[in-house]
Amino acid sequence: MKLKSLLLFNIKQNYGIFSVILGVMVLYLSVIINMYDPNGLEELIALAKFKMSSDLLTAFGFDIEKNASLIRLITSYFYGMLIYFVLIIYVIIVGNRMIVEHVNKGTMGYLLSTPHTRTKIAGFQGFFFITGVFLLLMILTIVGIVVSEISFPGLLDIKAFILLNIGMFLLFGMFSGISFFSSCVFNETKNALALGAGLPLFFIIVNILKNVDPSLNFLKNFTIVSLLDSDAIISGGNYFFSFLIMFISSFALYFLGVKLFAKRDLSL
Amino acid sequence: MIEIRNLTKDFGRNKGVFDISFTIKEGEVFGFLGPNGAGKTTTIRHLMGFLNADIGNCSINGLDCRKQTAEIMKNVGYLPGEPALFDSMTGFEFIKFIARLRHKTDMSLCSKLIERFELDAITKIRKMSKGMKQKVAIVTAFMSDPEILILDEPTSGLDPLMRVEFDNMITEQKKMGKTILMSSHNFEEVERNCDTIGIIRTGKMVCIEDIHTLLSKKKKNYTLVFAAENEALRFVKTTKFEITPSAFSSVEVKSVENFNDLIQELQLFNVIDIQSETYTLEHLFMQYYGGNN
Repeated sequence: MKLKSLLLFNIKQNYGIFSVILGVMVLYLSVIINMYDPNGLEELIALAKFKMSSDLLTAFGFDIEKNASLIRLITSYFYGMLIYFVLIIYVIIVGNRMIVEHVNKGTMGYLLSTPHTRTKIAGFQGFFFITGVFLLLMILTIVGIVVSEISFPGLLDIKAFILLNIGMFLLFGMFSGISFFSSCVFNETKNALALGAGLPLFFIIVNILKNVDPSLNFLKNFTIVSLLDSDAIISGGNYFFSFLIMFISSFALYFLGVKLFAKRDLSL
Repeated sequence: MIEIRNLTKDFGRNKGVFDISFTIKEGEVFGFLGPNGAGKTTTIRHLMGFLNADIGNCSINGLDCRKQTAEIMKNVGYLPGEPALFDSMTGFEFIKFIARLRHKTDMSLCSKLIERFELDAITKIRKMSKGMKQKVAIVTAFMSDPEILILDEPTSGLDPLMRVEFDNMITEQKKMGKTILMSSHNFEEVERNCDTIGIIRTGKMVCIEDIHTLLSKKKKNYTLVFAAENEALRFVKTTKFEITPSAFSSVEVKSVENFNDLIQELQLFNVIDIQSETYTLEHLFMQYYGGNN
């Protein structure tokens, strides 16, 4: 491969954050799966209410009935909020490193003084970025299934769990797309972060606020997190259309980022 | 061949380049002179395809610098004005990294260059001095044996010995028929190797001149130190040169076109020292505009 040395550089630069994020997610998910009790979740719910007010629990997505299934518990306790805050850290840090950091530092000048077009370099960086997000969620899916099967054989709705992760990947396709797009269009790291970190965090926080009180439910129209409808996935509802929207938006963000990067003035 | 036609890029507040045109023929060494902030680097950034011109365009070997950058880069060695190297790598790792991106596997030229410039290639770039980083950048620019070299202030940060070594290398490259664009704010740095000098000032080309024509116009100032004060006074009374007497026994002689004339005159005096003043770009401007710049 022609850009092999750039690939090696990217891996060396990012395997640390990749491992930490993966480790945290795997640990959380395993702990949450093992909190499950097939005979009813009364104890867990009582314990949670003891630690936090029920409003707060709802806000954080820790909202669950006492006879809920394992997939409901995972969806509520892990995919409800925790995963966003962990995975968004990877997206913000690595997205920033992909393009704008090279432009800001000037190292992009060296990359572009080699016989590779801007489209190729940026496209490659985008591909590396989204592949990282994909791998994180793929490994998480496998771990989730394996841990569930060991602790509670046959109790996990594997199909719904995989679909939930595909949905999460598409949602993070959009988050990483926003981060990558701003990495491509700005010359300075601080500006790229304002948009590339600010907007995803805004969406995630709005998603929490909308749960705080039923009167704030209208906020769901102001966050792209709403596109991932986990209830529809678990209960076999219609999620295809929102998956399609997320896929197209993600692709468009990456595509536009590369296009604009190829065209614009670079401060090198 | 490098061609720049009516290149204009307006950054506002009189910054940028305005209607720049020049051609560097194959095998020609072009010295691109101008004070800091005059537009040298902006012009070079257009050649490298980093910027879109407002008006005009540039081409290298007939290829458009903005649209066919990747194709052009196969034959170009680039030394940035402020080399931004990958500072997590060692010097050698960086050189190898770029060599691989350039699809260059023959590392023998690299090793020769590393040896020649006494580059300590195993230190992390983050820990290198400015001069050492500059050496890494020099090796990177020359290692693929490119036909065209674009060098933005190549000797900044180098010690005097390395400057001489660099000059020698440019002389060799010139003999090999390379086309070279070299920017500098110091005339003496480019005078030895360049065939043509282009001077840029506040974004506009003020002259593009053959080096021999330019050198023939070159006038220098000298400071003479006489053995005694009365010697100096005697010189002041009789000399046909333009002078400014300074402290005690020393005299400053201005605008000497023919050094031999001065030597001849001085044979009748007891001179203990001659210092030549550095020939700066300002002097060149002064001469070019007859002092009215």
